[in-house]
Amino acid sequence: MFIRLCLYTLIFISICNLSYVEELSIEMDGSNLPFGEGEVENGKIIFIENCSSCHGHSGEGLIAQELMGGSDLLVGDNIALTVGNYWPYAPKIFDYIRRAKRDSLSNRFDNNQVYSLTGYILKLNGLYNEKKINKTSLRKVKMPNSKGFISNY
Amino acid sequence: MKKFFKKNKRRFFLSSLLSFFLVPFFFKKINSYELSDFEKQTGFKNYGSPSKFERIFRWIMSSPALKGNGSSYSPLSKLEGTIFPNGLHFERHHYGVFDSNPNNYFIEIIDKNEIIDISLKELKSMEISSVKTFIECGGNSMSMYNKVPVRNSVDLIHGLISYSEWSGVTLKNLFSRYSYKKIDKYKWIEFESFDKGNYNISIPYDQAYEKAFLALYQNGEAIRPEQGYPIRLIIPGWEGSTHVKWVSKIKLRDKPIYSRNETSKYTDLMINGKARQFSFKMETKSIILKPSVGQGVKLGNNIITGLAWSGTSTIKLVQVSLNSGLSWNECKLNEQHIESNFKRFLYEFDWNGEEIIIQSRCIDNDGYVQPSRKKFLSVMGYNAKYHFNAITSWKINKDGSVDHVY
Repeated sequence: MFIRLCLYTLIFISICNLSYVEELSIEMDGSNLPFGEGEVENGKIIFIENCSSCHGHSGEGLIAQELMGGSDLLVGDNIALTVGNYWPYAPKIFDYIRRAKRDSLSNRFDNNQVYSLTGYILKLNGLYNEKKINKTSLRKVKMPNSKGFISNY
Repeated sequence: MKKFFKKNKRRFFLSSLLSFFLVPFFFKKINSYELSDFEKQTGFKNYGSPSKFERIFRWIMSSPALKGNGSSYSPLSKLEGTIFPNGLHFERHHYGVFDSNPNNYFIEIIDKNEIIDISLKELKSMEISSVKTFIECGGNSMSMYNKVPVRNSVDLIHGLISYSEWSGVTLKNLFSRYSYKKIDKYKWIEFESFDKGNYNISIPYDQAYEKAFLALYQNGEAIRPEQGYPIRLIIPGWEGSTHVKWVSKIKLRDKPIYSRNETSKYTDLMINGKARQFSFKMETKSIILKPSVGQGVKLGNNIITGLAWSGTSTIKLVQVSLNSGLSWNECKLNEQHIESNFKRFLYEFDWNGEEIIIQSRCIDNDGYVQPSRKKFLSVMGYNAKYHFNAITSWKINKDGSVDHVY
């Protein structure tokens, strides 16, 4: 009886695992960020290896979007819209790096690597100064432009 | 680092601008596909292609270094009528083109508590309805925000729009079939694609329920891979970014997901430094396609033709001015009696060799008049980048050549 129960439990768990698909969309408040932790220094290494050929050595932009800098006030001419001065919610940086990584590597980054990269990009923008970054600390990051959008709906 | 950036801001801005725009325009010869022996023997083709004398193609703006990201422009000025051939529909891809096996394709409707899988086969067996509508990229005509008029073909300035008949299953039908009722529980729906970046966009539930449908066919045949094979979301009159291709997940939610493409992109930064978000509807607009830059005008009788469209209403009339907007003359419209959000207009005029500026403006059935560039920019500013719908002006020079002017 006990063995049979164990067997059923095992089968149940394996079915659960099979049907489990990771939710890619992260909420703007970061409430469903995955477990994991990244080191910001490590993020710099990953960035230079995988991202700098398009985004520039330290995110200043090349053939792909600039990721850092830009004026704080979003008025006037020739405004560069970057992660630092335009993106409203920090957890969505994690969301986008994980979902949209290009084909420099065949697979997606793992969650720890994404945390590292998120931390590094925030650091480039002067928005994060800790050495490590995880769900709790990422949720606390305040983005300068979080109140910069007026919704039509 | 900030200081460093500020110092070099101009250089960065220029380099990023140049690298994007100086990408060579690649295009292939019109495909000459191998005929089978039977086709050669009988003189028939299983799938037809254009005449070898017609060299019509989309302009591609992309870079091999960012494979899969970029756009291709519809050759507006080389087409007639209103329906665009499937192979010339504009494209805007963020993460490449995907062609997946329809036999094991299914979409998921995801509620907080349950997931419903629907196979493509099941969708195809449901009632198919059709809508003729345009899709316009939110960033169409972006170069019109430049301070200096770009001297480009009209296709490259305004070519991110195309018009097709789309057929598929309405969300209303789909939801009612799976016992989802229109109740206040849901406020938003997130549509997610299965492409490499899992492109996602949020749409207000009410709007999606009333207007949206999952298209399976474009102009009668299965949607092509570059248009989202096998399933594409269509919401008539809304900006291209909401027409999610390769739809794989439909998530019912109580608020938007605030994805990158509804915060960092496809938001319109206004003069006061605040950005307009979820600006879905494409405004009323018209463009003169002939004559335009690269084409000539001859002495005597000429025909002006162009396209007019509106994502907010239907076309009432289109007017043409031959004197920089001082006076306006009504144009002929195709299918005058049919209410439509996309029409071709025609206007005949005699040119006596003088320098003139020609413009078109569209008036919709809500009474909205397409604004002049000056009036438009006084409201939107130069940083909005998206949703440019002001009047375009073409100057006819004394030698009959055409220039783009403001």
